[in-house]
Amino acid sequence: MWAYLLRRLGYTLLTLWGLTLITFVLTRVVPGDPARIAAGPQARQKQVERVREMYGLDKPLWVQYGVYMANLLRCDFGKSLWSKRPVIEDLKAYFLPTVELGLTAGIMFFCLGVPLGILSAVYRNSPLDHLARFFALAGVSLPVFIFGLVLQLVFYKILGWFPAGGRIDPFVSAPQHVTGLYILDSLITGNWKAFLSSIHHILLPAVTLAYGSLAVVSRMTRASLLEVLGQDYVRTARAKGLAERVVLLKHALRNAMVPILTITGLQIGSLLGGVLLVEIIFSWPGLGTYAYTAVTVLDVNAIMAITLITGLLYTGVNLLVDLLYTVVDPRIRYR
Amino acid sequence: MTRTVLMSSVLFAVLGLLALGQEIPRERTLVIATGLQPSTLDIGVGYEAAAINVNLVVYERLVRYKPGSVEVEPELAESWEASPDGKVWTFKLHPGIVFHDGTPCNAEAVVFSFERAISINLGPAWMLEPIEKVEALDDFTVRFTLKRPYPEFLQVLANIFGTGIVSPAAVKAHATDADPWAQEWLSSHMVGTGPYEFVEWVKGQHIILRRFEDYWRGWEGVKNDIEQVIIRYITEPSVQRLLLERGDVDIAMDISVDDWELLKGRPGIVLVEEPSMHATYLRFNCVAGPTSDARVRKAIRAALDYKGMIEYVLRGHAVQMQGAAAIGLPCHNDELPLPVQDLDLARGLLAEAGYPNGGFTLEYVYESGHEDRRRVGELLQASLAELGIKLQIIELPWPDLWERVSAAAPERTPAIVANGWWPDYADVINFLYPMYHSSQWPPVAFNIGFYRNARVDELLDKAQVETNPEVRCELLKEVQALIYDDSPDIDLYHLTTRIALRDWVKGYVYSPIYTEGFFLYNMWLEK
Repeated sequence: MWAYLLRRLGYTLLTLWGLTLITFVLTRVVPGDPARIAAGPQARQKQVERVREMYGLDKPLWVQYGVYMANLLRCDFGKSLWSKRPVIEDLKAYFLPTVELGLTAGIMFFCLGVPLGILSAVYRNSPLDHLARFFALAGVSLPVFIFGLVLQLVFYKILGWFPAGGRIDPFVSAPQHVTGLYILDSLITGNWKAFLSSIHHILLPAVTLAYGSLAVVSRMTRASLLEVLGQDYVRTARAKGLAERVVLLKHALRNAMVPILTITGLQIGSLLGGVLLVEIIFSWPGLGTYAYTAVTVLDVNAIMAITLITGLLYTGVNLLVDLLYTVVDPRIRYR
Repeated sequence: MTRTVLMSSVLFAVLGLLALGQEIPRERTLVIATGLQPSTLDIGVGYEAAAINVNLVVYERLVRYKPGSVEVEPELAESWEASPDGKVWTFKLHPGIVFHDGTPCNAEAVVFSFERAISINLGPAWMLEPIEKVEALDDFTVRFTLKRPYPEFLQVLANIFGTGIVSPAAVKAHATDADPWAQEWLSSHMVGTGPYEFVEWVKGQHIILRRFEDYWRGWEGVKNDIEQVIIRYITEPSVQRLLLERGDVDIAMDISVDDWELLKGRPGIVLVEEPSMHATYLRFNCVAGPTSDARVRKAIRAALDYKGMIEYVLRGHAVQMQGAAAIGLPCHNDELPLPVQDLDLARGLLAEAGYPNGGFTLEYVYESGHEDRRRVGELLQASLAELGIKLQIIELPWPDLWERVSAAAPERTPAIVANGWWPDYADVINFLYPMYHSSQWPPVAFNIGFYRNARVDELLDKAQVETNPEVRCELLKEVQALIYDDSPDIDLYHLTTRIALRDWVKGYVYSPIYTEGFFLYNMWLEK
C-alpha cells in the first residue's frame, strides 16, 4: 500500500513537472509579447524593455525555465505581469473562493445524487424514478449559464430570497481569516452574521454548479445499484431475512460504490470547467475570472500557476478516489 | 416535540436568511456596480480605465478637469505660473491639506510622488518623461523644470494616471530594500488626500471607501451625505441591471444596449448617455499592399455606409468622428468634412489607382470581444463586395493582434486593423503624435499603419514645443487636415458612455476625460 502510494506520488510529481514544461513552452511560443501587454497599451518601447528585464523575459528560454523551476521549489510562482503582485498573493485571494464553491457543490451533488440514485433504483420504474430521470436529464442537458440565469431571475428578481451574486454581503464584514473559506472561518470564529450571509450567497452558485454532476451521479448510482441488486449475494442476504435497509446500504451499496466514486472524481474535475461560467454569472470572486484575465493579458506566471494548481487538484482528487476504492471494497489491494 | 423544535429551527433559519438583506442600513452608502476591476491600485503604476473611479476620489492632483468639462481647474494647487519659455512651472499648494494617514500634504510630498512615478517608470510614466527635476521651494511651493517646453504639461498633470499625490510616510513605512517604492503594498492600498479614504479591497468582490472627515475642503455646507462607497465588481451586465432595478446598487456602469432599451422610462431609474472621447478607427497599412496607395484608402473610406454604421450597427449609441482627433477637444479641427458613403467616388478612385474592378483581397483584423468592430467589418465587407474587393475578416485576441501590428514589419501588418484610442488628457496631440508621427512607427509606438508625411512630422515637432496656444492650435488643425487628405485610416466613431442611476442619486456630472469616475464630493443621496 505504502509502496503504491509513494509510486503514485512519484507519478504525480512527474505529471506536474511535465505540465510545467508544456505550459511554459506554450505560454512562450504563443503569439503576443507579454512585456508589451504588461507595460500597457500606450507604453513606450523603453518601458516595454524595462518590463521585459524586470520579469526576466529577456533571457534565453531555458534560463527562464531554470529560474522558474528553482523558484517553484521555494513555492514562489513569480510576480503577476497583470497585477504586479506575487502570484501566490493573487492565488490566495482567488483560489480559495473557488475551492469553497467547488467543495460545496461537490458535497451537494454527492450527498443528494447518491440518495436520489438509491431511491430511483429501489423504486425503479415508479413515478418517483421517472421524476428522478427527468430531473437528471434536465441536469445534464441544461447549460450552466442558462440554469444560473434562471435561478437568479426566479430567486433574486421575482422572489427576492437570495442575492444575485457575490460571496458575502458587502455590508457584512468578512470572517477573520483562518482557512480562507468563509463558511468554515465564520463557524470557527463564531461570526454568525458572516456565516448566514456566506451560506445565503453560496447556495445559488453551488446549486448551479452541482446540478449537472448531481444528475450524472444519481444516474450512475441507480445503474450501478440495479446491477448489484440482481447479484446472488443480495438474494442470499434477503433469504437470510436481513432487513431491506441493511441489504441495500450494507451489502448492495458498498459493492456499487466503486463506479460511483470513479464518476464522482471525474465530476469534480468537470466542476473546474464549469466554474468559470458560474463565477461570472454570480460575480463569484474565484479563480475562473482570474484565469480568464490571465489568459487574455498573457500573464505567463499566473497562467503557469493556475495550470499547476488545477493539475495538482485534479491528480490529487484522482489519487484520493483510487485510495478510497480500498476502503469501500476490501478486495482491492494496491501493491 | 422534537419535530416541532426542528421545524421551528428550520423556519427561524429561513426567516433569518430572508431578513438578512433588509436589516442592513444603507441610506448613507453609495453602491456602484462595475464589471471592471483594476489590476493594481498603485497610482504610479496603474494605467487602465478600471482604476479611474477610485483614483479620482482617493487621490488628488495638483490640477484637475472641471466636472463636465475639459477645462483645467485647481485641485491641490491654488495657483501656478509658467516661465515664458514654458520650461519652468511653479505651483502654490493649498495650506492645511492632510493625507488619510494624518500626515501633511506639502511640497515635499508632491516632489516625492513625482519622483516615485518617474523612478518606477511603468504605465503612465511616459507622460512625465519631459520632466527634468521637481523641487520643493518651500512648504507650499513646488517647481518643475522641464527638458523642453511641454505645452500640454498642465493637461498631463490633470490626467488621472500617475499624477496623484501619495503619502510619503505610507510609502516609506512599507518600503523594503527590494521594493523601495512600496509597490507591493500600494498595489492593494491607497493613501491620498481625496474626500474618500480607502478601507478595503476584497479582490473580485468590492472596494470600500469611507468619507474622510478631515478632508481639506471640509464637509460643512455641502449636500454630500455619502458616508461610504462600495464599488462592487459584477461581471455580468444583465446582473447589474437586476441589481439596479431592485435598488441593491445605485449606479450600474455596464448596461448592455438591449437592457438600456428595456430600462428606458422605467420609474426610479435615470439613464445618462454622453458621447465619449474614445475613438475607433480602421487603420490602413500605408506601405504594403493595395492600401499603400492613398487613392485605394480613400476609395475604401468612400465605400463605408456611415449612416448604417451609426444607426443600425451601433443602434445610435455612437457619434461619427470628424477627423483623427476626438470631437470636443481643444484644437479639434471642426472644419473637416464628415465622410459619407459614395460608391461612385469610390469606383472612380479605384479606377484611377489601377483597380477598376477591384480584384484584390484585404485582411480586416479586429480584437476579440469588440462586437462593434466585427459588425463594422461586415458592413464594410458588403460595400467593398460591390467594388469587387474581398474583405477577409479575422478576429484575434489582443496579444495575437498586438503581435501582428507591433513589429517593424509592414509586410506582416494586416491591410486594415480596427483599433481604439482613448485620450489620457484633453489635448489633440495625445491622438496625433503617437499615431501619425513617423518616429512612432512600430515597435516604438502606435503609428501601426506606417504612415509618413514629412509635413505632418514637421508640424507635430513644432507643436510639441510651441508655447503660444493659438499658434499651436493652428499647427495641430493643419495636421488634422493633412491626415484627412492622406487617409491613413477611416475615422469611425466615438462610442457613447452609458451610466444608469437610481433617481435618488443626485449631483452626478459626466466627465469626458475621467469617463468612469464620479466627483463624489459634489454628489448626494435623496432616499
